[in-house]
Amino acid sequence: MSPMYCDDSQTSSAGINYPPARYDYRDQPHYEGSESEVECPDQSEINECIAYLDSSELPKEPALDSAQGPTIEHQSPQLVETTNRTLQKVLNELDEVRSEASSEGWDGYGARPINPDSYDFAARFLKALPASAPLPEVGADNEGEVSLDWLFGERKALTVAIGPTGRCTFAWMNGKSTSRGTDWIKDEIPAPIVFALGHLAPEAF
Amino acid sequence: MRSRLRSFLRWVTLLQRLFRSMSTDESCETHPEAILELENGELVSRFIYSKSHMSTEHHRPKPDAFNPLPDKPLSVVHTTGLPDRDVWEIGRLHALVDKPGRDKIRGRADMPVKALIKRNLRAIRDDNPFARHTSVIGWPRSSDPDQRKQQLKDLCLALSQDPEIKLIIPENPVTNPA
Repeated sequence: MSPMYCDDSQTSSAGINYPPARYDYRDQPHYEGSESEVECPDQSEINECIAYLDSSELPKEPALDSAQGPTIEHQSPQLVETTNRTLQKVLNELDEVRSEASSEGWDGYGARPINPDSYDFAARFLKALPASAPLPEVGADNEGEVSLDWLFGERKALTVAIGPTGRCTFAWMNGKSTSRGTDWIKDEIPAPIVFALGHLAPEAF
Repeated sequence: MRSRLRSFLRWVTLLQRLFRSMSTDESCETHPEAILELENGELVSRFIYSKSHMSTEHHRPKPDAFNPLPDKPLSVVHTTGLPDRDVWEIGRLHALVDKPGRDKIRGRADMPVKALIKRNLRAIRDDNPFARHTSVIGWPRSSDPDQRKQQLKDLCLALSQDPEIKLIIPENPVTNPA
């Protein structure tokens, strides 16, 4: 089957413009035939994704430079404190990974050290996550990019590599459905990643 | 009739092998020292040196634990039938060498070869640079770097989530006292 790309360029009612993502719903050549593809989202699913982002629990205008994330101010003080603490824990984890992956060959197999720009984009990404969203485990890949991994149980996971240009390469699976794509961090978290998180952890939204 | 069918199937198998070796630059011909292509039923292990390549919370190897360097095979060890202690000993003796990042082994991912084969990967035991060393080949090689990265992410995520692939963590990280 030839690759099928969906241009999901959308504008939410809050005025957030989502750049077109390169969804790749290809037939997965590395999997057995029994595994199904994720369907290209239809209009109702895209609307659902936009509704997530427009809801009061999600940022209207995600502020990537904000240390707290844009939605925290809408939460109770106790929740804000908990969220800040949890976010801080993940940011500390990011610092630990940067420290571990600071030299050539840090993984024992010749990996490149973490690129400082990848680190910056990853920090901005984490701070911009909706307060209700589950937080990832942080790692690094052998090309100097930061990896964010959300593991939700057997065959329910999302992995994102954040590169020095803000490129996010992601893959996720939910049971036998799998999907992958590339998108860029601009002023907000790429919509396909929010869409994936919404699928994998609907209770968080 | 039956012998014709058998002969036809033999030809199909030969053609499949031929196409498979032509479809990758990492065929056995580029590994002159290759002695054995591992089949279903065999087991290989990937040593993990970095904390960030395994999730202790979920007791799973992370996708990056399986990510080979661009255009390189993934280094693993052929461990079929070896007791746990012997696998760590191979790591201690041969993997903890004088290379960056090789000061301790924090864990390993035990992978049935069938989990690789079903994803079009191949495990070639080459015994180089040490006995039982095996190279996993057949990784995606798209000329588009974005596409290649996507394919690798996808494949490594699938491996990390395969319930047949197990993360083994030693009581204490394996170090080389010497």
